[in-house]
Amino acid sequence: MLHSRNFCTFSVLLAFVSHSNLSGATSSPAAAEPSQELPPEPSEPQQNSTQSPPADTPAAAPVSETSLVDTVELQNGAYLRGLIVELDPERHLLFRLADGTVKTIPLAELKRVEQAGRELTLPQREPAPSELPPPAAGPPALPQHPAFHLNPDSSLAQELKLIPGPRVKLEIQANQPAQLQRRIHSDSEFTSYYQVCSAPCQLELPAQDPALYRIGSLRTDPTEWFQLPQRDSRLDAELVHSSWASWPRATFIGGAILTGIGGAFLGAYALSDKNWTRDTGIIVGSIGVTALLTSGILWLVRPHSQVTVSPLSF
Amino acid sequence: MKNIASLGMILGLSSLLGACAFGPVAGKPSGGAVIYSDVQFNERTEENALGTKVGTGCTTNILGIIASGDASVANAAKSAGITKIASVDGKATNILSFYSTYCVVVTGE
Repeated sequence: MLHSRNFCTFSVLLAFVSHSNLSGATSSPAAAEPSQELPPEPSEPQQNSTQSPPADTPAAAPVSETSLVDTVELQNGAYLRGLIVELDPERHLLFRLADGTVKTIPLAELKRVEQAGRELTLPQREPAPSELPPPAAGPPALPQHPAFHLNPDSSLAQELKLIPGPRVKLEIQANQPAQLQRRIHSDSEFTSYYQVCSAPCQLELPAQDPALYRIGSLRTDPTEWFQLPQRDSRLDAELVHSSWASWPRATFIGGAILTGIGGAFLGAYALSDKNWTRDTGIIVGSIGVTALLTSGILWLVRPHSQVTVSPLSF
Repeated sequence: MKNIASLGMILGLSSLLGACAFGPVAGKPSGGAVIYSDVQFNERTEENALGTKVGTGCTTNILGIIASGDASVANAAKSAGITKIASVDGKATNILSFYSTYCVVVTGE
């Protein structure tokens, strides 16, 4: 009897243990780990800057919405919420978005920046091309003479740069090929100057330049030396040929010589009483006197080169 | 006839005297005209860039009897402060063979 009782008890125990093992193997695993928070969806769709440089920092740990206290408004109308990481007053703004991405935004693209509800004063920036007003319609540009222009590396350009004060715009026109000349030295023997530009030309020069200027060339009689006008002006030069200065002298010299020769022949007639010396003296003397009179007329009526200054209006 | 011959002799003599006023133009192309000339020509060029400075010096000659002035390259360059000469040009005028001028034009930087 004891043998069958023990066997029965052992069987019951064995069955219980087996059932327990089988239940543990087939049951579904319990959710033992703690649940992870899913990253919240960004509240605003991500805005890609049209000029975002490729140096955006990869996403770091996402930022919770409650800490997105800074806002940025861009020139193209985009609106971003996030955190200001860095503001470089000369180059860019680093802005962390909700997904953790740090965006580099050039200053030129920023329209308005708020930090914790307080607007930040943006540093001076170059206006975007779309902000620039259209160029005002003005007079057509003066065609520049192709032969000569002021070289910015020349000694004259360097000298003009050192002169302080405002600049005046000048338009140079001449009726003959000529240059605007800036005096270096001028006396009875030598004249020296800078060739500034060949007319027609348009340029800016310092209004306070103490040097004198004139318009002329080797083939024309130059104008008188003048000081630069103090406001934007147009200089019109009426130039005459350089020989106008020489003709009165030449005719005077020739007339004097021929008059002298004629007088010598008339003197010979007085001594020799020969008709041909008298006639020769009269003819030659007449030519000489005519030349002298011509030189006087030429000296009185000869034209001079002049420059007219008129205000330049835009 | 004698008068015409005499007149011709006088004018020829005047021209001969005036020809002395040609000066350095005589050997240049299109230079040295008897009645009227106004020419510019090149004397020399250097290998420097054509600068903005110009210095000029002139001489005058009357009948080949009286001449004065300074047309030296060195002094013209000094008056303009030119240290590197780019070109040396000449400009000559002659009117009726009585009065002539010759100017040297020095350009450089």
